Amino acid sequence: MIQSTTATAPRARIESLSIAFPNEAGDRLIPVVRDVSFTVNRNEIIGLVGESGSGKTQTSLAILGLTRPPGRVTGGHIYVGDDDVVGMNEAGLRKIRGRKAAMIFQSPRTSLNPLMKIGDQIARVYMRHRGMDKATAARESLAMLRKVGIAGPERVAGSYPHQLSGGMAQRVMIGMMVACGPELLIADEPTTGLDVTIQAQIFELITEVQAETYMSVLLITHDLGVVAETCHRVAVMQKGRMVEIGPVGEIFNRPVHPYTRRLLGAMLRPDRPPGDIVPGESPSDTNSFTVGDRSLAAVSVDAWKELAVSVPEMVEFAPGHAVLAHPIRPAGSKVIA
Amino acid sequence: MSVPFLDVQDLEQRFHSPAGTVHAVNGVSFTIRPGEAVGLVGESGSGKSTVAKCLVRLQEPSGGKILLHGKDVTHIGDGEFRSLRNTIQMVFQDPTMSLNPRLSVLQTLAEPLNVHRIVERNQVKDRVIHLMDQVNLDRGLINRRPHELSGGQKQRVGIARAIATEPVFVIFDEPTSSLDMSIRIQIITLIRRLQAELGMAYLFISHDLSTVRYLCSRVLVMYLGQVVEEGPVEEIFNNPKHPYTQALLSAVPIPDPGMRATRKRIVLPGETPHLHTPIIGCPLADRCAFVEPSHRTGRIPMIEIGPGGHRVACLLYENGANPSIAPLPFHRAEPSAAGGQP
Amino acid sequence: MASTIQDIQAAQPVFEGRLFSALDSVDLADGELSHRRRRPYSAIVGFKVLGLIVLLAIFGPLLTDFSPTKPDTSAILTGPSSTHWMGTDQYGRDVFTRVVHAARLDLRIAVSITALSLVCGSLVGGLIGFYGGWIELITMRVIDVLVAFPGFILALGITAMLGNTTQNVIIAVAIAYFPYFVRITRGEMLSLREAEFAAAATTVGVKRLRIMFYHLLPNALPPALVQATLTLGWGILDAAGLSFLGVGIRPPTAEWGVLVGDGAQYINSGEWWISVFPGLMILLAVLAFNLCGDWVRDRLERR
Repeated sequence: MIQSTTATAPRARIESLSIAFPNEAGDRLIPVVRDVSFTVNRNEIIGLVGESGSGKTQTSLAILGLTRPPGRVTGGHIYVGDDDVVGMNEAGLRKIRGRKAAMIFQSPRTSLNPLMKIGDQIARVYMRHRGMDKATAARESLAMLRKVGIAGPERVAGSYPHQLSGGMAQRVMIGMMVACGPELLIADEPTTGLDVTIQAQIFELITEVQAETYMSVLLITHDLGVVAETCHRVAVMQKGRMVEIGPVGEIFNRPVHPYTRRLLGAMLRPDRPPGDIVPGESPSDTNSFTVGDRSLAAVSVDAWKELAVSVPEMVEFAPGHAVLAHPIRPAGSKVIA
Repeated sequence: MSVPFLDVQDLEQRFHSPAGTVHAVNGVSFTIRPGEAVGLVGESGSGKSTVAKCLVRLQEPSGGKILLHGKDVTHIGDGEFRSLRNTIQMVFQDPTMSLNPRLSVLQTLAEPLNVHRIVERNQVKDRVIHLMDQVNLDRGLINRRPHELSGGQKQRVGIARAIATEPVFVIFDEPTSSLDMSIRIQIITLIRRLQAELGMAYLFISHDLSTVRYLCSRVLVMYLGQVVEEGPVEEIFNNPKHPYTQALLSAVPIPDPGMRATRKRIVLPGETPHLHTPIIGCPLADRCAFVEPSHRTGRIPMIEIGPGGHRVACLLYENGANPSIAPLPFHRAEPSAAGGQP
Repeated sequence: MASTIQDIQAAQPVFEGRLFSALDSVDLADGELSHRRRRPYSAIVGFKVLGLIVLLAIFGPLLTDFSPTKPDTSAILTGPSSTHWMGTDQYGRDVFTRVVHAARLDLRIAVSITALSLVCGSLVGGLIGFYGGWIELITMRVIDVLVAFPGFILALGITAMLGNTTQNVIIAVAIAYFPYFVRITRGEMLSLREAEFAAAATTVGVKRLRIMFYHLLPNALPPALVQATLTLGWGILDAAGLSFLGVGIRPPTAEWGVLVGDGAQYINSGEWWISVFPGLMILLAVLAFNLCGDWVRDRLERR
């Protein structure tokens, strides 16, 4: 089991991040990310898992200051390196983007400039971020295309984005991002819509690049298979909250939070003959446990209101494995109203 | 052994584009028996969606035959085919696009009932309620329009619409691709339950192999417009013979960190080509590690290779040969009896 | 340690004694209004003005005792006063009476033009968009020819050909707007034809014609409706313009364009009220229709 090295300073530190969007009428502010804290360590691939509405994409956009107005960060800090991205002005953000942190998105062809040849686009990155001259940049671009596994790099360098297949375009994006030399790469569902064989190749590429450059990767995905095969650590989000985080082996083998357990329980495996899934029974919403002398209960976020829970906190269940849980007082003790 | 009610013979579909003629479907043959759950897997360019469209007559094939209950329906008139539509139905991939945004659930579900006069006009609403119950759709949603429903609810409407006419055969075209994980599992169990209750045969088209393994008893694997392997689901998943099937299965991520170090990925160099010339010989020839010159000519026949009708279109297996060309994709390098640990 | 729901509920509440619940949305303080919130002021103005004009059209004639067409030689060319709110024209007719009677006619004309061109245009556009083929080719070329003429000139020519009655004015202007509805609806239909719910309806077994009328056409209409709101306003302008030139509706019928024409020769000599008041009404009506049309467009686009 590959463990992440936490010996040196983390690449990114997110503390109590909250993001909210106004509703249609404009009179209420609806939180989409609430009090999320985690770190991205050096030399690791950490997966961010959740369903739609979990806030995983918004969290990652905020790291690069890309929260789209009228949404805004309403609290917390995001430290990329030593700088707090929250509230940073455009100039500061521009220094961070590309150099400290970079992002690849779901549809690579829309991230590429449709009017510029591929080779020119990659060369531009080298010229801007590495200070190369035109000729060197052109050479490096070809080398980068080869490195990301594109056969016939000269032909691809002379093509336009719409002439590439989805898989190839994503490789080009990865190439461009790596050319920036970022310390942190955020990948938001980078293989949506791609064939499974291409997906496997893309993740292999990411893993290879990460191993070579010690770049950290924050991988947003809904596919638990990808998480199991690619990530060192995984964080689970539900309805804007981070409910569990830990090493991949721990989370898969000993999930504590009811939401994580629900996700893992509902998983189908391609390598096992199908058993019978029983989703008819409503899965448990709470899971209680003890840490030291404290009694705690982890509760699925959609049951919080109904169960009128107390303020939750991230509790360390096992080394490196934290769960969002609520303290329980022993039965019969007084409640201070 | 029941008689197949659907018999597809050498189906072909050609598209003409400025760049050339695309053979989206290039000689596909298969049969489906009543009540059988068949999976159709393949990646983009495999032609699986085109096959589905030909079966429901959204397109007319350029070649081959489709026989329903022994009758050749390939080129019958639109009107005549329409009278058969109550027996073949389809559930589409994107529930947001496949429901008319202006119609309520009631209107959408009433339409097939009215078109095929399944019940009397005054019983339509009751029947719609019954359909909603069957797919676990809350009765209170009956007057809602699609934009007021969640993704899972919309897809249930799509499924209810398909079973409204009590069809003998339903085609599911990637019905869960656009849904969240937890919703996906609900829809999949719904499909399984409906199949058990209604006894319909279905063709489940998907690129999600785990779902196919759960829902289907037989699987067809397509590549570049041809079926390259078919057989019982356990055979295909435990004992894949075609190099493409092996590569495909080896690429599927397994949600088990314990298996990470031991998986052997089979990589097919290059990408699925875009077809503008007809393929002669094996469609995988340009990417296969075991290709021989003789594989590039003629039509590759389907060869019986395993129990239960496991057939593979690969010349490596002709004349009874059975070379072990790849380690079993899901198992460790040394195949163990149990096949992976919990 | 056993825990029950009661235990969790009994857990010490924090945060000022209020038990915590997830994802409460928060009311924005007044100073924090997001930039998207705005009240549709222009639409409110538009609807109010339109309402006023409609009321005037319906009830206006009851407000005056004067006849819109009978001359009164005793009150020729008098300015606005307490008896004649908008003055009188060269025949002694009360301008206000004529203006409100004209309101009825003009509104009727606007609605008729719009209804005619909308219905015919959308129908034709929908049908040729759906079926395509040579009918589509020929129709689109005819449309191209019609569109080659400036709308007003086209309407002018047609009225001249048919004769200047109210009905012919309506038909002529409707023909001038007809091509736009055809193009809009055909365009929508071309993309809707490929929509997945159309394919779904086909697999269900719905007949093609029914798919066209029941499924696709209603979804193709919103852009046409937006165009219709514009046609309401421009239709009045065109009809009034034709009448002003003497090619459209003839005097002594009270129509705003006719009224403007009546007073044209008197502008220089100072009797401005005969043209200005009806001109103002045209302005207000077109403005009101346009403002309401904007609002309709916003609502339709937000879907």
